Amino acid sequence: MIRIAQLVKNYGNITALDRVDLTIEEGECVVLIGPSGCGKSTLLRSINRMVQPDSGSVYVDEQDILNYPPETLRRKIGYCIQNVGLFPHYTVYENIAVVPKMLKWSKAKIEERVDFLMDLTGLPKEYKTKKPHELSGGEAQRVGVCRALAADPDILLMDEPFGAVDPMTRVKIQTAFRNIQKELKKTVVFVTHDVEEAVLLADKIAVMQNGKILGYDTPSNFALHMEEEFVRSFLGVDYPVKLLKRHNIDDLLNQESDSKLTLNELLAGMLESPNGGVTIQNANGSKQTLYFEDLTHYLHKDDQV
Amino acid sequence: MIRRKFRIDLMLTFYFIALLLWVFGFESFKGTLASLLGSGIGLVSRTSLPVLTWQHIQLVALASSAAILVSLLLGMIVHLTRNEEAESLVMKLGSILETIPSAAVIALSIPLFGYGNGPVLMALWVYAILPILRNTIVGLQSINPSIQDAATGIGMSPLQRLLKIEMPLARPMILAGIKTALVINISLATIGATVGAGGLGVPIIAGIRSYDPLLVLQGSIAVILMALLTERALRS
Repeated sequence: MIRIAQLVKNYGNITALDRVDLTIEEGECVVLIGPSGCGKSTLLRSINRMVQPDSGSVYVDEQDILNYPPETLRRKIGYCIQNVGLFPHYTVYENIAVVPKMLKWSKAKIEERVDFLMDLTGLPKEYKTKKPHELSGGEAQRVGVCRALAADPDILLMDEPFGAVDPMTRVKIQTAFRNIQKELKKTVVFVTHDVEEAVLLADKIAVMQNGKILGYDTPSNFALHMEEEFVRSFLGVDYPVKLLKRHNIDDLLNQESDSKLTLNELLAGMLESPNGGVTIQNANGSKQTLYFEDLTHYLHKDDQV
Repeated sequence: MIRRKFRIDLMLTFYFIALLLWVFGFESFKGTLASLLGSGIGLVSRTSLPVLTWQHIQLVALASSAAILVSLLLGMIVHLTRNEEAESLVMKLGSILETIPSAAVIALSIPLFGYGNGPVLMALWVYAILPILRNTIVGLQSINPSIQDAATGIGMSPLQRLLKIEMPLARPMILAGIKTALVINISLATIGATVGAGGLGVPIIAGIRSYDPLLVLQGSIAVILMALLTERALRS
């Protein structure tokens, strides 16, 4: 658990953080979102003491982070940044192994961990001996995620980690990360300015502006109360449509199948169809046609919008 | 990349063989050269060319190693202070040292070290510092900030970051500085003969004093070949 209390940081006369309070529960993925300069990166970087706040405190598992030497603290917290920052003179293996090595893990344990992580992120084993310049942007980013996860930290800080890759690769790596997070249940603080990325990955979203958190809630709840003018304009009036990405057709039909159709894709199908219906095949083989009412009915069933 | 490492460098081999031939074969073909240049062979210096070459190498190696040691340490310390003022101050100091004429450095250090190798070593050391120090500082400064951020963020101490990440990445730049320093020193070491130091400057100075082109050639060719060899060996 991370608890941030009354955190203040000024750069000259610019307020990056203005008495910020935030509690992040164990195993939750919290996405900090907002325009450039809203203080989201500063907030993230004050968790591993990359930024020294002017006042206020950060507690990790109810321990003030000032009680740890910065290096010790940072080795316990995974760190992943936009430009990846892979070490160009190290191989993929050495890049991933760097934190476990500092923590003096045994060679066998490191090797096992690297294998596990490369498998988890979908990197082929042959890549171990490659150098970063031989990797594509998406592959480098996966190695960056592996490096952040290497010492099995409970907390993961990610500062626009997928910002520099092309849109196609980004969707793939986001989905991969979402699955990894489902499996590993890390406490993740994730900075982005991309609303769709936030909707897809977040357990909770914190919308920031001028060093303040204007709203902090689950992605679904944000749709219900966007009373704050800025939040509404930043998330967009079409936010409920973006939100559809989080839901899968299986959720709607309340069944298990390997259909990968998300509800925004279903909506697209309905818009395309002349009578507004999309016919799908159920897991048991029977066919069913879905209409817009089915969608709204599902979404308002338990206030899920 | 690996293949390139093991491939025999033709130019390097050529310079090396040429240098060996000149240094060890000079005695056997000096007669021919003397008749071509119209100078007398009797005037050839008393110390043999291999010995002079060895003295020359010793002078350059000693002064350059001391300069490498000091510049690297100073460069790393300045970098660790993370103080831009300190960095520019050190660079300025280095540039000022470089502007002092070499003859002046040698003359000024005679009272300290007396005649012989001392003043020359001092001059060579002073001149080798700037290129190495400048390249160390610039090399460390020009590392991609996100690599530095990542190194700090995953929990490296400033010293770990310097030794494991920054120094290896600045290495090509530092090597270029060392190369420049060595090439400067190889030619500069010749003026040592004016204050009684050994080395390849001895025949050159003697040749100038006695109007003997063969003597000048004897030292100069060896110096040129040595400089070319070094340049080639340390090229990136």
